[in-house]
Formats: sequence, structure tokens, C-alpha cells
Amino acid sequence: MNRAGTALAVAIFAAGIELSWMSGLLQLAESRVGLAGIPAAWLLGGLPFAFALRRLTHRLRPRMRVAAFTAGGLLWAAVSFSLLLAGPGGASPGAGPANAGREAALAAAAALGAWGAGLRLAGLTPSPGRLLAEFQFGVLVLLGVLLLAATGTEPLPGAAGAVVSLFLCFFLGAAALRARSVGLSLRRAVFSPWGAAAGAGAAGILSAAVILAAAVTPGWLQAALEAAERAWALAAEGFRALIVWLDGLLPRPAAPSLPGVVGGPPAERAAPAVIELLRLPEALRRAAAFLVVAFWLALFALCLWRMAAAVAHRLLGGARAGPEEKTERLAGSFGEGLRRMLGRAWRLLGRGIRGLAAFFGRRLPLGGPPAPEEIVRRVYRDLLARAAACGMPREPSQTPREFLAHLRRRAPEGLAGAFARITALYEAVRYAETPPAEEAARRLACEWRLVRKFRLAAEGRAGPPTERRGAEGEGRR
Amino acid sequence: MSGNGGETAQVRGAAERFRDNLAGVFIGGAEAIELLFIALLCEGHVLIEDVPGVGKTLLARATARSLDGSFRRIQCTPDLLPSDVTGLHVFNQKTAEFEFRPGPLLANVVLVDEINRAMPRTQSCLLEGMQERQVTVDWRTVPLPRPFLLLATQNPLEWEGTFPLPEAQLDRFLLRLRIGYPDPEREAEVLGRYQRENPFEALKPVLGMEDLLRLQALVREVRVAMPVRGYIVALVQATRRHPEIRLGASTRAALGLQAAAQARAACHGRGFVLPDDVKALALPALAHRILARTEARLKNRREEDLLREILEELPAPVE
Repeated sequence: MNRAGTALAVAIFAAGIELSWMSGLLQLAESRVGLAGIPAAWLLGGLPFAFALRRLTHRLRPRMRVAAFTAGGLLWAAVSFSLLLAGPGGASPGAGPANAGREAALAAAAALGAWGAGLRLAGLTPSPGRLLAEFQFGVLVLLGVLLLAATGTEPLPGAAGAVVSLFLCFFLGAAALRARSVGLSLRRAVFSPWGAAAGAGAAGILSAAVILAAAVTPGWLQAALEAAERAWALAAEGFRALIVWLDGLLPRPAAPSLPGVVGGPPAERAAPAVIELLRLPEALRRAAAFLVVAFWLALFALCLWRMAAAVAHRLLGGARAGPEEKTERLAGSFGEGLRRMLGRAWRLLGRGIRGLAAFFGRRLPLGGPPAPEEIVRRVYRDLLARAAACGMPREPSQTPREFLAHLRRRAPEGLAGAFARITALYEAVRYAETPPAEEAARRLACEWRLVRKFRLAAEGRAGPPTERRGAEGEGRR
Repeated sequence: MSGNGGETAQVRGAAERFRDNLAGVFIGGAEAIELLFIALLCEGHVLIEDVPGVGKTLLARATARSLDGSFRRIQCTPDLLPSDVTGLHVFNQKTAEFEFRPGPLLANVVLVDEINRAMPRTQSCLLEGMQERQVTVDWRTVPLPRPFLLLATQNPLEWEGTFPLPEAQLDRFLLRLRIGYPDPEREAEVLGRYQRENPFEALKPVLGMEDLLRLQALVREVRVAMPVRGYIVALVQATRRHPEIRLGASTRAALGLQAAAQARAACHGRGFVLPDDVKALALPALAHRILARTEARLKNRREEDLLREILEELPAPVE
């Protein structure tokens, strides 16, 4: 029961984050673009479809599975899209008394999803890849809202408060669990699967109740939401100002001067080119709206797809996993996680700037390729993340050697040597503070790539992977 | 000394020679032998505590014989006086001067057998020698020979006629060993080995004092990275915060644990300390220095159990 409960709780969390972005997206599309009749039930119907597809294709080779998933997702998105266009659309404003209940329901769903997302984020190892995976849709939604706010003439609908609340709840949930003291006290509760599910549910219901109360009753809650609205409008105005400022930087032909005219009335300032571009003819505007909706819906489909895959993976993987499987633990304090995140973000920024500089033919003194010790640490972090994803998370009190012994007990025999080499080099880097030879680090990274691919290729097959399969994976590569 | 260079190889070789030498006499106690050698490398003192007849004194004597240094034995009794341990000044009628006649404490290896049978004032006279490597007799301070290693044994079961060691003295022991009963195969091997002759008689010294001093200097160069140092500090701090511990580990305990971890790393041929070294030595180095509360004792939770619990909860310094 514990395993099933864990799988269910994690699936709820995984679904929660997707649901939060989706609900915000639906709200946005409905209120700004004018698609009043988005059949949410049909869109959500993709879940059993994806589930069935995964079950049907789980014996295929990985590449075939990926191709099947991609084709199925595209097909489903296309059918949904055509049905949407043929369905009862219209130019309804979206935000009105008739939609108040719907907005409230969406807001409640968003809050529930936000809490689930916060809990999930708190349990993740903070790494750019994981965070990007969690935020990829949310950032797009935010950008979309800002863009529409900048191009539109009407104020944002009242539902924007729910979107703001969504982000607020998201970060509050993450911060609450990441804070060291609260996180430590909650650790047992989060590890208890039914406790986690009940906690997430209670938090979601509480958030929904708070937002509903704010929507239907005047008072300080309503005032708080209005303040959020004002902040939102301010952000939108700032974005608009940014566009105008960027537009001012664009070169434009100089206006012909009229000789002999001095001190006359100033000529009317030409509208910024970007704003002009945004004031498109009606046909183009509709086409642009169509493309925007298509883009959002494709993302929406992808969200649903990810949700279905996460649910299926957790449920199926959870049923197969051994008795030692546990959920991901909270590693370190919130401050520590934040510091790591910022450090990595800084390195990524440096790498991006260096890439841009290389692209433009210049070289900036921002450091060379990653140092050998950084390569080794990165490989070891990847190993930990991969092991956790495979149901072998490292206990916080485990040393690298203890974890290696743990891995050896459960990992295929062919990989033991590679794990030992990775661990030995990591120990030398971390505890001897001695940079390894560059050649050794590169060799280790190459070996890790082989091992990682081998493990990925072996996943999902019946029985433990063997050396022969490793050779196959290597050959395919 | 940060790699697996020649220095660590020397320490490792010496550890293997020492272990092989003692393994012929003390059968089935590889861990205890390793801990003893670690204490030798740190110049720390060892308290061997166990029930009678498991080889405490034999282990201590075999250790002393494996070293090419001076060895003295003090058999503690309630009427043992401090001057019997440290030495005393006697009047030489020929020279008409007081002469210092050194006690058995002035040796490289001193075996204090059944230490808890000595009276507290006699036990206390060991404190200065253990910590400061010197003894003060009357008006004169006499340095102890280097290296100086004190091996003490005690039987934890007997209470009558014994004087439990005070915390201050326990804190001066780097490690506390518990040998335990051997498993049936090992016990049968002991019977076979000791049937005709005593292998102790054939024991030869394998490590000179000069070599030992050189190895001690090498061990002090073993690298302790900041994360590992932080781990030691966190461990010691955790013993002070634990609700079931009345007296946590001291700073001297942290120093001792670090030194012992360095020695263990060198014995394993490493030039740097791993968290595993700290974990492996946490119980022998800390368990005798902390005191569990009465509530914990009533629940039959010993200091070792509490330390194990702390080690299971304490995050290791990994990514």
C-alpha cells in the first residue's frame, strides 16, 4: 500500500504542476483571444489516450516508442485543434458574470496545482535542467500574458489575479518546504505517502477557499487581489515601455527637413515601428491570433502528454519497484538550494554570453571550457539524479562509498566498474580537493555517456539489463 | 600528502606488517588491531573494555611487543599509589642528593591493567601524562619518552572494589575498543593455535620508535577537506544537541576524531580523509566521551545506539 500510495502522491504532484499551467492557459485563451467554447473535457481526454498508447507501445524499442508518442501527440493535437475551430467559437469577452463560476473553478484548480507544484519543486534536486522542466510552460504563459497585455488596449481580466495567486502559491509552497526548519518537520509527513496526499489536498482546498472567498466577498482578501492586479498592470506597463524603448533603438530613415522653416509646429511623432507592427489589419490580426492559439494549444497538448506519461510512469514504475523505493528527499536547506541554483544560473549565463561572443567572432575572457573537477562533479550529480530517477535515491546520510555499495546491490553487474570509477574520481575531487587530470575527466565523461545511454536503453525491458545489452546500446550509439 | 603517493604507501605497509604480526596471536580481531594501530599513529591512548577472558591484556601486550620500544605494565589495585606510577625522589646517601627514580609510566608503551581498580587519586596522576606527555613529581617535571602510548583495560561488569573512571579521564582516551567474543570458527582456531605453544612468545617487533615517529608526522599531513571537517563538527555538535544525551562530545573529541580519521585514511593508502573514515571511527572515538540521560538508559539505549542514530540522521557532505 505504501508503494502504491507513494506513486499516487507523486503522480498527483506531477499532475498538479501541469494542471496549474494548463488552467492559467485556458483562462488566458478564453479571456483574451475569444475562444469561449474551449471543450476542456475533450482536451483532458488526451490523458487516457496517452495512457493507452504508452501501454500498447511499452514493448517497442525506445526510438520506436518516442516516434509513436510524437506521432500520437501530433495527431491528437491536430484533431483537437480542428474540433476546436469547427466548434462553437465566438468572440465572447470571456470575463463576465456568466463565467464567474468557471473562473473560480479555474482559480481553484490553479491553486491546487500550484500547491502540488510547490511540493514537487521542494522535493527536487535544484538543477537548471529540472527547474527548466518545471518552469518551461509557466514562463511561456507569463510571457504570453505580458505580450497580450502590451498589445491589447483593454485591461487584463479579473482572472489575472488567479494567475498571480498561482505563482504566489507556487513559490510559497516551495519556500515553505525548502526552509530548513519547516522542511525538516515536514519531512516525515512528505515521506508518508497518504500524509503527503492529504497535505497537498488540504493545502489545495485551503487555497481554493481563500481565492473563492476573495472572489465573492469584499474585504481585505479582495483588496489583496486588487493589489495583485495593480502590480500585474504595472508589470504589463513596464513591458510596454520596454517595447517602446527597444523600438527607439531601431534605426529609421531620417525625416526630410524643410529648409527655411524654423520654429514651426513640431511634426507629429511617428508611431514606433514595433507598435505599428502590432497594429495589424484585421485579417492578419486574426491569423496571428490563430497562430497564437495554435501555439498555446500545442503546448497544452504537450502538457497533457507529459502529465499522462508521468502518471503512467509513476504508477507502472512504482508497481515494479522494489520495497526500498522511496520518494525524493529534501536535500539541504532552501538557502543552500538557492545558492546552488544561482551559481549554476551564473555559470549558464557566462556560457551563454561566451557562446554569443563566439558566434559574433569575438572571444570574451569569461573562462574556458569546464574545469576537469567540474566535469567530474557534474558526472557524479548526473549519476545521483539518474539513480534517483531509477528508484535508487541516495539517502542524505550516505557517503559516496555507501551509496556505491547500495548501487552495486541493485544495479546491473556490468555497470559496477563504471560506478566505482566515477565514485573514486569524485572522492578525489571532493575530499582531496585535487583537480584530476583533464584526460581522466574527459574519459570519465565519455564513459558516463556510454553508461547513461546503456541504462536508458535498458529501461522498460523485462528483466535486469546485462552486459550484452550494454554492448548493443553501445553499438547503436 | 594528498594523493596515493609513497608516503601513504609507507603507512599502509607498516599497518599491514603490524596487522600480520598480531593476527598470529590475536585471532579474529582485525578491527581491533586496526584501531590500535590508528591510535599508535595518532599517539593517542586506548581504553580496552570488555568482559574477562576475551584477550584485552593479550592484545595490549602483543601491541607493546610489536613495537621496538620500552614497555611497562601497571597492575592496578586499590592500594596503588601515584608515586608507584610516576616515580619518586629518593635520597642518595653517597651523593647526598635526591635522585629521581622513574616509575613505570616513563616508557614508550604502558599497559595499565584493570585501570578502574586503582583509586581516583592514582587514576588522576595519569591525567597529566596522558594529555601533556609529562609527569610532575614533587618539584620536578619529567617529560615522557616519545612516542608515548597508554593502553588501559577495564572490566565493565565488576562494580565491587572498582572506581569508575571520571569523564575527564575518559575524554583523554582517543579510542575505546570493545573486543567481544569470537565466532565459533575463530574460537576453534584459537584453541588449535594455543594447543601446543603460546604464539605470543614468538612475537617479534615490527616497528621501531623512530619509524613510528616518522609515520606519525606523515599522518598529520593527510588532507582533511573543508566538507569533511564540517562533517566532523556537525557530528560533534549533534551529540550536544541530542535530547537524550546529557554530556556531548568535547572539542578534544573532535580533534581526536579528526586525527584518527587521518590515520585511518593513511592506513588505507589514501592521502585524504573521507566521510567514511569519520563514520567508521565515530563510535570508538566518541561513545565513551558522551553520557546518555537516565531516560535513555531506562529505555536500554546506550551511547552507541544514540551515536548510530545521529550518524543515520546526519547528512554526509556530498553534492
